[in-house]
Amino acid sequence: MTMNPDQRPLEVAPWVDTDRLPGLTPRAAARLRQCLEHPAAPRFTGRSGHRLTAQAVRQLHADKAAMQQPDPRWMATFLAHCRQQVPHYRHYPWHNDVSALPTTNRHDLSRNLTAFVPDDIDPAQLIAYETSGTTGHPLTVPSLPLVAARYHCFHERILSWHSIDLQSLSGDTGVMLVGDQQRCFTYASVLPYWDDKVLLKTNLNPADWPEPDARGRYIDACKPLLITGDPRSLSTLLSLAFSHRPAAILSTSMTLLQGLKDRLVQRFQCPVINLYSMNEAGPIAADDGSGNGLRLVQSTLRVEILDRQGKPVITPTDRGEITLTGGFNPCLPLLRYRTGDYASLTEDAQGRRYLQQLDGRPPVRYKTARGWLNNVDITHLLQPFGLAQYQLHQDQHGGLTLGVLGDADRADLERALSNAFGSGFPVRIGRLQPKADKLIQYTSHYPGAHNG
Amino acid sequence: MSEMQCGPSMHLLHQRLLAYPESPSPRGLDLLALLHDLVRRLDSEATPDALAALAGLPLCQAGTVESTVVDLDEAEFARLYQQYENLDAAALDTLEQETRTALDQHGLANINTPDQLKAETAEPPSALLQMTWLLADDAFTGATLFASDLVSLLCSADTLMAQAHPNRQDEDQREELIRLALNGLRLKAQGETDRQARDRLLMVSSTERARVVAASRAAEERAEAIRQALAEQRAREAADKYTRE
Repeated sequence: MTMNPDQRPLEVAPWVDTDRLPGLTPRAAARLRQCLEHPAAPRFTGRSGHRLTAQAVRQLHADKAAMQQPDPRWMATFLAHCRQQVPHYRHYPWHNDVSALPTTNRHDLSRNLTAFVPDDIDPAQLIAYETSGTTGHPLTVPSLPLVAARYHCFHERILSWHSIDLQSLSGDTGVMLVGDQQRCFTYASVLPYWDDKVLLKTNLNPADWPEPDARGRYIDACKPLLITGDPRSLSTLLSLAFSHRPAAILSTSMTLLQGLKDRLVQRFQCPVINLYSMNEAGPIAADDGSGNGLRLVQSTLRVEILDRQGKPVITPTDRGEITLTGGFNPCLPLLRYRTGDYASLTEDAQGRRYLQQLDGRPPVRYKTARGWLNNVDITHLLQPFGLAQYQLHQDQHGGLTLGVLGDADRADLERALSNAFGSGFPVRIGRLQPKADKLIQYTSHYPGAHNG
Repeated sequence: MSEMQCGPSMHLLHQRLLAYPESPSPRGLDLLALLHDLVRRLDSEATPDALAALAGLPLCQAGTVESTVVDLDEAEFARLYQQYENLDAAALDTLEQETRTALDQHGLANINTPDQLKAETAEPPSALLQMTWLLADDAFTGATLFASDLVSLLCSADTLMAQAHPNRQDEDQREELIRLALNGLRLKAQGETDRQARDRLLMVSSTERARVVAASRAAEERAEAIRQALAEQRAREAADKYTRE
């Protein structure tokens, strides 16, 4: 039951809130207070905390050490746990090889989530993350404070690929999450596992700030070492006047297009890292600067690429649905979980594995006067325009609608698409409505669009 | 896709139980060693951790039950042997006669012949021992079995049926024992569908029927506890995470 705001007991100030921030040190409290009371600070709409006990922080450090040397038998242990502890998996045909076990998807989780929570998880310890997604299946992801903190270990690993050692960076503010939404849950917190640095979750919507220019002033005052956000919010960040340069920028939630990435790199002179992450599995893969795609980050997460029939794709360059087994959230062990996202999986000479051609949706092909163009071709076609975000739809008669976010020359865009599609395929350019957190980039109602 | 793996035929398993050997059943450490061997034979990847629970079985306790292996030092053996030699058969007869007379006076004498007494007091082997004998059949070696399932089945064997010592001459009890064993290993009898295997088990086993009802209730209660915990948590904020997904 949610209480009305006026029924809620009076809350203590965040910098003495040891319920949400157990073990809060004077240093952390001082840093937090400074960020919250800064004249340019935004209106924070919520409260949050790491909720980690001292024992959980110790466990996190142990996890980090264990990550360096993963148990080679982790998969057998994981499968045995699924078979014995997870109600939904218990009745699987376990006498078969794992590759013959059924797959699950977001719809399965959404419909009967409790059957996926292992019996050895104490419900009293659970925390919950809600996620809307684009598949029409809203989902509550059960988790633990320790699991949320484990994200940090993976972010550390990703940044190390870019020669950034998070622990050695000095500064009071560790991370600033930037959003750009009508309404957004925002808060300030501290990270006991990262030298008591401050975490700020902010909304760049000017309505949340004392005045629009306060946004830039606040960033310059807090000097966050990392800035994270979706491409749309990072695009807004580019429009703000401030001089601070973070050590790195992490882009999540949506495809980061090359044009926007180039502009961010040019402005901030730091690595801009595209991160593929989801509530169900945490960080899955990230750009490591090699140009090979997004490198898999979790050593105890098995990635399969499945075709439409649920069989592994035949050649490594084939795209298919990213399907996950394993992970680091003991409350939601994933067993052949079909993510609804599509990519190909390749391995380099050193055994590093990369997701390539990653798009959030099944492949779509578009009818042109000369035949078919697949969505990857469209990505290449639109890349030079540096769009922050776009969506292309082909209707059942072949007409094209391109929704764009960002300042692009519409006439140029129209010309590029008309040239690619040829006569008989009218092109309309509109403004993308920034309503959903994630959008389906490529859609089509043209007959045969999904049969490629 | 079928959830259950195909196991041996019911006929073969009935025959196997009927052929339970008359020789004394192993106890204590002998039994524990035998169970370890059995589980390892059926799941070559069985780990010591997976086998650990077997050591807690009452029948496997060293010292609390008689074992066929007794460690005696030479002096102790000599003393016991001497005691045995000294037993006076005539004195024993007298003692027995006194007892018979006492029983006679209460109208209780000669109800059973000594042979009858022996047959009736010799209990059938426990469900655990019968199940162990059953699973030792070569027919099980072809299936993909898991040590955890085997250990769990063996540890609960004596509580699965209404009778801790099922009468293997009784066809219904035999059928129940066999089907419980197959179910515990996620097997179905040869020629049966998953559905038939489940239905037939529920038909012969009242304890399984009760267990299914209780398990279903427990699962529903747990699901409700998780739903409630998540609903309460949704109303609050979760813990910090520094990327959006």
